[in-house]
Amino acid sequence: MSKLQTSSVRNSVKTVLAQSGETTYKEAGGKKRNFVETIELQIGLKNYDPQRDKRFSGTVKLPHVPRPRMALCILADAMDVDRAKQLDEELPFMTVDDLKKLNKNKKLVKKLAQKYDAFLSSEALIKQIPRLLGPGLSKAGKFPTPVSHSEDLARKVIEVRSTIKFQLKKVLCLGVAIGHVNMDEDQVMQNVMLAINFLWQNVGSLTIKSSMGKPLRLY
Amino acid sequence: MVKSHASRGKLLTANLPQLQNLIKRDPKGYHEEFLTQYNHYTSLLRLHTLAPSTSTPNGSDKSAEKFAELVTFISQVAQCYPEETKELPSQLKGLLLGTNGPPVKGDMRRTVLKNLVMLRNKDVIDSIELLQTLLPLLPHVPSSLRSFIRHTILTDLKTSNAKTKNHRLNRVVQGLLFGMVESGMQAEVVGDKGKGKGKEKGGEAMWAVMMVSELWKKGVWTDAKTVSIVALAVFHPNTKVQSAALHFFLGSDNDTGAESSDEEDEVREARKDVKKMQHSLEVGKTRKKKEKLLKKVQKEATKKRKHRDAGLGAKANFPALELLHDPQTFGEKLYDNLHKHDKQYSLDHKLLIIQLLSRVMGTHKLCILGFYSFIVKYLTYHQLSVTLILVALAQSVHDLTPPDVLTPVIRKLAQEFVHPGVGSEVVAAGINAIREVCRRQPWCMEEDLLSDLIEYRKSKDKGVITASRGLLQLYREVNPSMLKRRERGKAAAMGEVNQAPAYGHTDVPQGIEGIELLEEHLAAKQKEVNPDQSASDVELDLDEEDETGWEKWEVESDSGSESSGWQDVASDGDDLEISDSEDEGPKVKRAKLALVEEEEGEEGGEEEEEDGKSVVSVAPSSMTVASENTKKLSSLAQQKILTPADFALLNELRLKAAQSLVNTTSSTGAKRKLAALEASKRHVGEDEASRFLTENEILGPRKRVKDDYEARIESIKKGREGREKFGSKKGKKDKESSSTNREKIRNKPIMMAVHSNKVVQKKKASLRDKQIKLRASIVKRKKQKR
Repeated sequence: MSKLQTSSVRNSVKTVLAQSGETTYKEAGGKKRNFVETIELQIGLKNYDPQRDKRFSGTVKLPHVPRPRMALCILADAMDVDRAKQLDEELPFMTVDDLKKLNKNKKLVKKLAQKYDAFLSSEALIKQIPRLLGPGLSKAGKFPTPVSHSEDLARKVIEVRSTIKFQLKKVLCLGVAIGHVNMDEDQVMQNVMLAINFLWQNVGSLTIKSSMGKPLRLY
Repeated sequence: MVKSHASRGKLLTANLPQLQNLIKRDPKGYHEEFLTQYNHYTSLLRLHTLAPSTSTPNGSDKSAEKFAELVTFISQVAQCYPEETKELPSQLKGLLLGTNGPPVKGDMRRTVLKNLVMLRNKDVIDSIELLQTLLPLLPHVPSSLRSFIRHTILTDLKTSNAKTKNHRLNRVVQGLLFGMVESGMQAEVVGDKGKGKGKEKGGEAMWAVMMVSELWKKGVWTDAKTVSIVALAVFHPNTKVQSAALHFFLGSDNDTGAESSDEEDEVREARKDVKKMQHSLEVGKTRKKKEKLLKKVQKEATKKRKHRDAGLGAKANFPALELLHDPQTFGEKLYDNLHKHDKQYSLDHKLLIIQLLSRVMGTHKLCILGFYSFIVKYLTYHQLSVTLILVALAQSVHDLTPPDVLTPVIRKLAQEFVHPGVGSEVVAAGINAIREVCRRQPWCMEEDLLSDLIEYRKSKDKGVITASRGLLQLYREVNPSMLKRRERGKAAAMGEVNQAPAYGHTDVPQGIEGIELLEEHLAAKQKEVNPDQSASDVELDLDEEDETGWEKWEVESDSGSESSGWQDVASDGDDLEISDSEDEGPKVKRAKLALVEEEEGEEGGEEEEEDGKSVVSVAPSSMTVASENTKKLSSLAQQKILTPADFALLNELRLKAAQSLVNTTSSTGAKRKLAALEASKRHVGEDEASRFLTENEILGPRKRVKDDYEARIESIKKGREGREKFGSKKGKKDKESSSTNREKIRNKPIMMAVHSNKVVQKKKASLRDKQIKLRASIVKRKKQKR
């Protein structure tokens, strides 16, 4: 276990990209898949005692969107419904009435939570969410991010998409999506660096891989 | 050896132990003898299963004795004849559990049990088979046998999990235990209040919970399945089982109880002072036992130290609460249990449930809204152990608790606890509880209520004052706009405070805190080294620096002692920022520095000062211009992997910035931030040592009340114990010592004194001599006066 160097990280990023690139996969020994693979970073922790330390969790905003196809949904009041409709790619929305129809039915809420990767919510609505939907959303770790009327919705969407969440559960390792194979090398690089720097203090091992590619150990 | 065959047989049938001995030496030669005994055993066994009355006292005592002897004999030699005794373990099991015929009782049971354990020790049967027999036995045997069984089970599991986890065994045993708990689940809940209180025992479920918690405490089982057994037991209809399970989760006795209870007292005693033991070994006679003990203790100590040094690394123990499967459902069921059987459970039991529920809610951020309306009725100041309830209330709140649910609770708290009709401790406890709730969810407070509560800082009681001030301080930090203008404090008035995020918002950090400081610092350093270096060159050097940082890291992780670089960075004081990292850096760095010094000559000394200034001056500006941060961040954190040395430097810079902020603004908020930073520097990662709220935080600081008369007299009497009476020692001589010379002189009979030489000489002396003496004495007296 020695030091982690920028150049070595860059090399592994290169190989990961090459292994699933359209023109390069043959010599790199990978395979081109029929979908855009996600690149993920897997982290093993050290110097961390779950008995004593607080639960390890954190969110950080990456410079580039790692998952552009992330499905979002806005729980909207009337004004935000209009705004959601006007976006370039229309944002799915649910109004209060829609939510009331779910009637706190656990199965329906769970279905809703499974359908989308993340939720937004109008500021006026956010306080009612626990009452309307029950614990279903926070149980899935998808409690909505509030949007006020003054914020630009499109930018907020990008912000949510580029925010990654580290969360430790029951085992001493975490995995997080930090990019996809259609990004160029520098972008992936920057995302990786930021993620590593963010949790550096506790890192015991680092591995990078694409969804179906081979894992590469960084550290 | 020359004995005839017939006589040998006669001897052997009468004397089983001897036969056993012979068989062990030569199994083949004594096969026939064994078979006769075995046939005898099987016939007796059949008799036992058919006619259970053999254990009745009249006359058949002898046959029972014979049977027990035979069982012992057969199991002793079982390993020599594996083919013939294939059935033996299952037969013994049948005897114990009563699968065919009634189960054995009394001494017979003990014998059979011991033999079964012996079979396990000789590896004739495996642990699974043994434990499958022992576990169901637990609830049905008398206490002496029970402790034996418990001990056997625990040691067996411990040894089979010692090197690696024996997953197969664990799964089977956990399944058994789970079944033991589950079997009683359908019964009707009987509370522990009123009639029939605590009559019925927990039965096998109780034993299951006890076994599991003991294994958990010893770290034999640390997985989620174990927790799920106890999680099931929390809803067991029997309150005793429930309370045992609740205690498991609350971990109320995990500190002292962690020491394995089966360990001999000696070892525990010896652990206390190894030094003393060593000494006594050197001085006194050598004793094997003592030496062994010492070795054991020392080994343990080194093991512990190694474990600590390794930083617990690979196998970490998650607390039981974290391993719960589906905490939301668990919490809801727990609340239902509490709510439904409110009347049946005693207060103590309800308190346990409330405590566990609140902890689960707090750690997993659950919303169980019914809990808050439930707890309201317990929030009166005359409620028994109300502080515990307050603690539970505060603990259950987290940043996703809807504020509108909490507001009525807060209001009720204020109405019940904070008014002039109650004692000052009550008021303090009330305000403290409100503060703890608001710290976790600031939006549940109302403006006029807050202003009311803050007025209590003008009270006369110290506890109340501190509580109220704490609340004020909290709102100055999280939401100053709720306070009146003149109470907002300087920092808030100047708009320097960043508010707590609104409900549902989370602060998403844009990167690493204080990274811009580090960046500025590095840039400044680069400029000094060669002033005309362009910005593009900076990156190249960054890599070089990487090297230095990493090397240092290696060194530190090797030595790991307190005198290594980390501590140096911290303790150096003021002028450390560059000098430190460069002192220990490799030669490349040194060479570079030397170059600089050659070029710039005398200016070298001033560099550091300048550098310090530039860093400090950055800090306030970076606070105000937040929007630029994102851009700044992109340059460093994305290009370079920060080394541990960089992080040390970063912390130092942040500390400096905070310090300068304190100097310029002198606001309490800034001071507190500084203190927090310093604290985190001192012990990394230990800031969250106490994860749960304690009662003391709710009670607040309390003045010690004056003792009443009885208590004072009591303490006086206690002080008098074992001391002499006070007073002058004059005239009271010690009994042991003889009389002093002075005393002897004083007591000398007058006639003897008159005729003594000393006195006679004085009388006879001439006038001149007398004069000389007088003068000398006068001079002497004068000298003494001076």
